[in-house]
Parts: sequence; structure tokens; C-alpha cells
Amino acid sequence: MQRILRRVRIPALVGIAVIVVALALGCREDAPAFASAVVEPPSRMPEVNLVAGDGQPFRLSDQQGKVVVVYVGYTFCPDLCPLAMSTLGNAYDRLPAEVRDGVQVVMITADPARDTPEVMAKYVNYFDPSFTGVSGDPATVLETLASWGIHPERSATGANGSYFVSHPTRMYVFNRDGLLRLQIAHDLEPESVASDLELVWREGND
Amino acid sequence: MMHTPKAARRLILIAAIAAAGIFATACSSDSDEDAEATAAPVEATATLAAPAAPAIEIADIRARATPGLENENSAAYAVITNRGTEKDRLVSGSVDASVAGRVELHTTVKEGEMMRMVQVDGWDIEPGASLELMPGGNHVMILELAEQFVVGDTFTLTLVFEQAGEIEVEVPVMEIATSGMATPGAMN
Repeated sequence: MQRILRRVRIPALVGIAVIVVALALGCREDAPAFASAVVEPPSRMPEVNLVAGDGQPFRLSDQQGKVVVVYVGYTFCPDLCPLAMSTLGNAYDRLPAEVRDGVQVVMITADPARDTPEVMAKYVNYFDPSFTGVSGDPATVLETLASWGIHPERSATGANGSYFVSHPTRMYVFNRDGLLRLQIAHDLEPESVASDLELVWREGND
Repeated sequence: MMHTPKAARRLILIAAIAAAGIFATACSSDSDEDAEATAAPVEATATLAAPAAPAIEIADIRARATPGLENENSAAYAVITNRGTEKDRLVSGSVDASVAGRVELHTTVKEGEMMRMVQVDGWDIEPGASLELMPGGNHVMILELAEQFVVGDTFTLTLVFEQAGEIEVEVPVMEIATSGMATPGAMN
């Protein structure tokens, strides 16, 4: 009798173990993955100490506790920058309210000669009133961007003194500890951007 | 009265032909609607078939709404198809001074991890081919806007082609989203 039970028990235990492992693997596969490039391990970027649209100092380190998305572009940018900002606005709207409160979108100008803090404020407000536009003394802005490895270059000057500026293809996402966690491609769909931002926000919450 | 059966038969035949005709028209008008829906909105399509000139079709034209800054710019996107038999080339554009200061043709290019804007002097359109002006790629840039572009506005854009000459199109101002973006051409 005991032998029979044992005979039944061992295969049953093996069976349960197989099911548990399968479920675990299954869960891992179901776990949502980032659509963006993940920075592993999350890294610290040089400090940003510039001027926000309201004229107040803007420091990246002051944003700790929030997930911060930094986009580097400029307001005269005719094509990609407004698209990227629209994507961020759309993604931001998709976030659940509790997550949205913990996410700050920041645009730093790559063209501080034309984009004063006031211009930046007006520009980002068009995409979402909660977004922060950042500029400052042109030399300081460009030094800060250089410390991030970003070197905006002006195009040749066209009619009426207009020019264009090169800017990064990716947006930077910092986790709640202020560490660079993701780099979002500029053409990622808003749905994926929202899902990635929520994942970073949840990382700090679990 | 003697002819009633024959007349009745004839009537039935006529009715059947008429019914078939109605069905056929109904079906064909259905498929016409489908074709229009998948191709492009009618009002956004302008066709010019000047004698002995290639026909250029401009579909899905739209311009980006703007935040309302001083001296801001916008971009127009469209699908331009050469329905003719000769190669054509989009060489320039213009708008009335009440809309904007000038119009330029630009393409967004990716250089390593940076994007930049390059002005171009035109794009060839082979017979039967389409030129796609899309966010993140080729676009018609509208500079020095006289007034903010607000969703729902429209303005007249004149596009100039080497063969087809000047074509005027009404351009609706829209919120331009990321979807349907071009993959910017890499440049080395």
C-alpha cells in the first residue's frame, strides 16, 4: 500500500514541479518588456544646472523621486522635435493618474541662442502644461549638453538669418533614483513610450 | 390580348435586366467608395492634366499645427504620385505672404546619434512612382509663419514641378502624430 502511494507520490511531485517551473517560465515570458534601449546598470549622468521656463533654477538632481524624461531639441525645429514632443504629450496622457504624477517631462534646448527660458516655457506648454522647458546662459547650456556627449551643430545660415540645429535621436529616461534607465527612440509609438515610462515608475515602487 | 404571355415574358426579361443593372451599379458604386476610402480623401487630391504634361496627383496633404511662437515654422506632408509617362521633379513651393514668409524643401537625416535638417533642391518622381513626404523624412517646410497654424485652418500651397508646372493645393492644418513616420535616411 505504502509502495503504491510512494509510486504515485513521486510522479505527482515531479508533475507539480514541472507545472511550477512551466508557470514561472510562462510568467517570465508574460512579464512586460521595455520597447526602448535599456541602460544596464542604470547610470548617473552629469548634473544639469540650468534655468526652467519660469526663471527658476532647474537641476536634474532636484527631480529625484520622479521618473524624468529628457528630450533635447529646439523650437525652430520644423519636423522631428514637435513630433517627439507630441509623442511625449500623447504618452503622458495615456499614463494612469498615479503614474503621471510621478513622471516629469523636460525639454532642454539644443539652441540656447534663440530659445530663452520664456520661449521654452511657451513651447512645451503647447504639448502639456506640466512639461518643463529648460534653457539658460548659452555657453552653460552647450557645456552641459557636451558633458552628456551631445554636440549640437548649426546648419549654414539661410534666408533672414535662420538656421537649423542637429539634435539627438533619443530621449533620456531617468529612474526615481536619478539614474539613466532608458533611451527612447524618437519614432517610438506613444503607446510603447507610455508603457515604458510606467515600467520605470513601477521599478521604483515594487 | 393574345400576346399577353409573350408581353409578360418580355416584361419579366426587361425587369430582370433592369434589376441586374441596378445591382451592377450598386456594386460598382460600392467599390468606388472603397477605392476612395483607401486611396485618399477627395478634397486633398488635386490632379492637373495639362496637355502634353505628366499628370501629378497630390494626396493626403496636411501641415503640422504649431505652438504659436514668434517666427515659427511648420511642415507639410503628402504623397505625390506621377501618373504621367515622363519623369517629373518637385522643385519648389510657395505660399501667399499672408500665410508665411517662404517655403523650402528639406529632408531630415540621421547622422550617428544625431538628427539634422538638410535643404534639398528637389525630388525626382519617376512615372508611376510616388514621392512620400512624411514626418521624419522629406517635407515641405513653411517658414516664418504669419500666424499660428491651428488645427482646422487651411491654406493654399503652390507646388512647382519641372514638367507639370505649378499646382495649387488646399492644405488642412492637423495635429501630426508619430505614426506613419519615415525612417530617416542615414548619411555618412
